[in-house]
Amino acid sequence: MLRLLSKRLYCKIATKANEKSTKLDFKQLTHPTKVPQKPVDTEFPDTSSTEIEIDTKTIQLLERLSLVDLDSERALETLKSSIQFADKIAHIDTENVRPLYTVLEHQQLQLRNDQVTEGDCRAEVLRNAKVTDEDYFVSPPGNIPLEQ
Amino acid sequence: MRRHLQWSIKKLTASYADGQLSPRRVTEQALEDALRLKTLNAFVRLTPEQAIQQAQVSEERYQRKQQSGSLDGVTIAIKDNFCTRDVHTTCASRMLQDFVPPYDATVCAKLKKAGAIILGKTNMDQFAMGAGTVDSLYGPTKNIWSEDLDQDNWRIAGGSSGGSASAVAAGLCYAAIGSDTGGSTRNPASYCGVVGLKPTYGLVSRHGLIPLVNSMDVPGIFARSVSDCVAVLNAVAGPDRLDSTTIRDPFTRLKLPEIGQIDLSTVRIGIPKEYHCQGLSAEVLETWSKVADLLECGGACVQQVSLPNTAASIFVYSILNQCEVASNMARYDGIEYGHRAEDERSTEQLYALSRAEGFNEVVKTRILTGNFLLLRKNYEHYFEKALRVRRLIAEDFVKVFEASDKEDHVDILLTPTTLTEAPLYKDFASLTNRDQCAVQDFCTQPANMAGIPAVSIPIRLSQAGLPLSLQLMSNSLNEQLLLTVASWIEGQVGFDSLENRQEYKASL
Repeated sequence: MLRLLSKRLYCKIATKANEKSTKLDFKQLTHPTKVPQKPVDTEFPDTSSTEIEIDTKTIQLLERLSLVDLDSERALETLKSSIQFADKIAHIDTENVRPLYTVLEHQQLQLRNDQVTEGDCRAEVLRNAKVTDEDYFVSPPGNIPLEQ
Repeated sequence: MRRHLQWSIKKLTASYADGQLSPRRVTEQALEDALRLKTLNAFVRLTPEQAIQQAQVSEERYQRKQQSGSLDGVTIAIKDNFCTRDVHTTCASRMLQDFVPPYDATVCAKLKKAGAIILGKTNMDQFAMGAGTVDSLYGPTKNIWSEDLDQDNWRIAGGSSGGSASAVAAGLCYAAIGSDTGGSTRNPASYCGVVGLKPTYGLVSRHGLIPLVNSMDVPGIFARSVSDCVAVLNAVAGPDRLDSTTIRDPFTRLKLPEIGQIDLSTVRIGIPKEYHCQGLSAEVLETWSKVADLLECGGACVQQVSLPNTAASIFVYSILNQCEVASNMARYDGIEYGHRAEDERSTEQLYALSRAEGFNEVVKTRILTGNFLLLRKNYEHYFEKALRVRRLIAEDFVKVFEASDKEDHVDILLTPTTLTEAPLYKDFASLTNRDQCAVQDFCTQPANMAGIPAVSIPIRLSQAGLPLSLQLMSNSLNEQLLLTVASWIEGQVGFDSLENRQEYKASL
């Protein structure tokens, strides 16, 4: 009965909300709150002091793979601290837990036939290239290793 | 003040239909307002010619009484990582500064089909990597609720879809499209005091959304009310043959009950205790407690629940984000599209220099870190490990949403969206990008891990006069209940997204 009453009361308030006549008092609660009033501490290992060693060979490999320079002390520091950040989940027990690659793993996703469905759009495809020659994209000579 | 800005989309289109207002006039005013409020830096590009033309056609449809859909004549803005045919799409990066897509993203195509008028493209963090809209080629976006927009005392809009949030909050458009990978729609919605929806993964097509993290990206929706948000969702959702990761079941348009008709007595609300983390402000905590109480007073069953793996989520998110970024960014080489450097010594040299010049430091570091985590010797230890913990995080949600024991089961989770009100730019900019995201994404990115829908709704103003918002989450494809409860809360708190903008009022 009480619940019914309070529900009706709130329906009334709801219809009036647009007139902004109701000013909610955020300090006043009717029920014992279910919201934890103190932060729930979660234990994660402090990995900030873990020594991260990245040798010159690895750096060069990363640069080749990324085609981006790791050119400053600051960039290297950011890389190291990102690795320390990633190390925080190392201790979590994932024995017998399969990797979750996609949240749609139980869905039948659509496949299409391997058929050409579009075409006749050469000009559109080429128009965003900075350098073209006739109907070709142009690139400098290949098979030359990156200077490092 | 344009009076019609206070109206819902439904009322706006009704007033078009009875001739009270004209789409052309509303569009012209919106474009004028956008120019007047240029200081916000919400738009990186306005498209006045196309917009006026679309408005003209819309007006003719109304005159013929042949409206094309529920958004006919409604002004909308699009984040600059959605491809728009013949309109620059830059991701706020030098890399794509000159990129003009030859096609529309499915979301844009569907909006146009529903009659919406696209005003332009909105600002974002470069390639959507950020939580503040401060790392943009075009400079930061400001929050309309700032005490002071001119000095360096202004507040950030949040990110990465800050331009879209700012545009809606400032009344420059009725709705806007953003993207949400770890909270990029809900975070700026929270700071800017508007509704921000992240739909179920796969409900809205990603075709033409320039990818950041394919397994988590979803288009997001900003609006000034839950019902407007539903109107946009109804127009853009559904399977798409151009995106094989859309859910194939046909989409049933949502229809929310009137607020007075909403019955909460069968609704079970969960308060996940781990969402009270370090750094949660007292005002947000008070807001969270009060709304939980309101729901209980409204007849809902409110109980505390535990999602034990939530705290690990931010680390997992960071790993997966960087790995997918390393892979996704590999496409930018300067040959077919995008920035091309002046270096013709070799192909690799050209790639490297184009990328060095085209990407900012945040993008580059994420690529390098991602490739480190993906190295053969690290793959299992970091990438696969993160995917395994991702399953644990997702299973936490399944356990509470699908519990067989009725006592343990909940329909909706209520949490904070962001831990605080919008920070000052100068405070925010003093943190590194990683720390910005680690703090700001804490409550939002778990939903992306699990692919579930989540919405941020504004509740009240803080002492400083800034919006405070909360987040609701629900099980996959449960948008109907999620938004019904959101609209009930909206009715209780009566937050006005257009209130309290001195600058704006003074300028009009």
